[in-house]
Amino acid sequence: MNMEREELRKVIEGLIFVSDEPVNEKTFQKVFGDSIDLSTIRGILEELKLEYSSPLHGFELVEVAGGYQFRTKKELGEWIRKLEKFQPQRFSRSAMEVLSIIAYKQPVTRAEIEAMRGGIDSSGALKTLLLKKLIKISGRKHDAPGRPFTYSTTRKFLEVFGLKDLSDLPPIEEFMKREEGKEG
Amino acid sequence: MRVNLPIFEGPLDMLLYLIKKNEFDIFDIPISQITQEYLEYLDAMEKLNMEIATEFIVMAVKLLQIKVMMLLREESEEETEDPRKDLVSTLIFYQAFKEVADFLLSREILNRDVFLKPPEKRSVEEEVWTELSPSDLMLLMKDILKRMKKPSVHEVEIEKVSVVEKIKFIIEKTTEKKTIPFEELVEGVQSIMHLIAFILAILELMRLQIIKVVQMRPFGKIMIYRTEKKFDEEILKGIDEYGERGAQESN
Repeated sequence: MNMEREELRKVIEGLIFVSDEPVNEKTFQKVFGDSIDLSTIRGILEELKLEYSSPLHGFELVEVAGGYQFRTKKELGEWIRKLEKFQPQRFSRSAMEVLSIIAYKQPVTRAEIEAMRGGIDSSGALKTLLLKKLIKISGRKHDAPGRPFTYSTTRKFLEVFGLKDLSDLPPIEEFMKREEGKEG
Repeated sequence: MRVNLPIFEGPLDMLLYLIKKNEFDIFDIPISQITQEYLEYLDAMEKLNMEIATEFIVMAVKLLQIKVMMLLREESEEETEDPRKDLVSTLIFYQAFKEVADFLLSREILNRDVFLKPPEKRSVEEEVWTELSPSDLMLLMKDILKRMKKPSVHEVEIEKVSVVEKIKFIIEKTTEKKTIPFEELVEGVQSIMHLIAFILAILELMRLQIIKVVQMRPFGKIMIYRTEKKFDEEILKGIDEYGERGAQESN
């Protein structure tokens, strides 16, 4: 298949448009086969990202959970929230604390999470996060008594918080340094 | 003393609050002072009839322990580890995770700040239907029979069930709206006889190509779909109603 770059750009744009999930490089490869190399696709994706970042557009192309997805721009939020079908995401403080710990310490057991929070019972927060599919039970800790479950974040976690992957999270030291800075 | 008590997420949260309020250095916390204040807060909470969770008490014990060890350390001449070390490290990590939580909440959160095109919801016409065969229908009937509540008391009763009536019913239901969910059609059907009559009616109408039975994806909703073919009342005359001639029935 010999495709002009312009043509390819249109196809890529369309593929992302029709997809319900972030479209990753694997999907593009599946569609195009070996006929088009990845660097060309990546280049086009960058172009599209740039194009949609223009203030003329209501949505933009974002890299999230290992793929590309069209999302509305933040400034449109107050308008879109008026549509009843969108029920806003809400997070309690405790759920966010637990989620933050899991994000950085995964796979982590409930006991470890609770120790890091000063012994607060975290079962309710874990349950909420599991229901929201932001975390999952990823295994068991075999060397701990009772072989407790371990928890990890999910792909949905990346999608909800707009992260490319886990390495997109700033290193934890950055959050500790900030504190030092405040003190000094 | 009037204490305005903030809501604390736990003992660490409370300690961080006290450190910040007093502008203490987190790496050099004056343990006796903070223990004193911590206990005062617990006292105030108790006076307000607030339930004090165990972890607050556990922390109070830990603080007192550290306080004692600090005193012992001052007296001894040996170089020993700072008794506050573990607590400081716990506090610093906890503080960091609280910042992580703030960081996450400041992101452009899906369905709070940014939104997606909702997943495809096609209209009935555009949906990809699979046409069901009479044998599919038989399987379906088996399924419905299984789900139907079995009467606890068995009464032998001769019911007069008319396939013709069911046909008329289906025709009537599909005249205005072109489609009707199968479920809706058999809704309220109490006896097996009636269900069988419905199935026979559907089969007959399928044979005459007046209706089609379609299903979207396996285990999806089953719909009765009226075709373009004209329904002629004359057809009813040919239907055998359990030995009776259906057409002779009057309503």
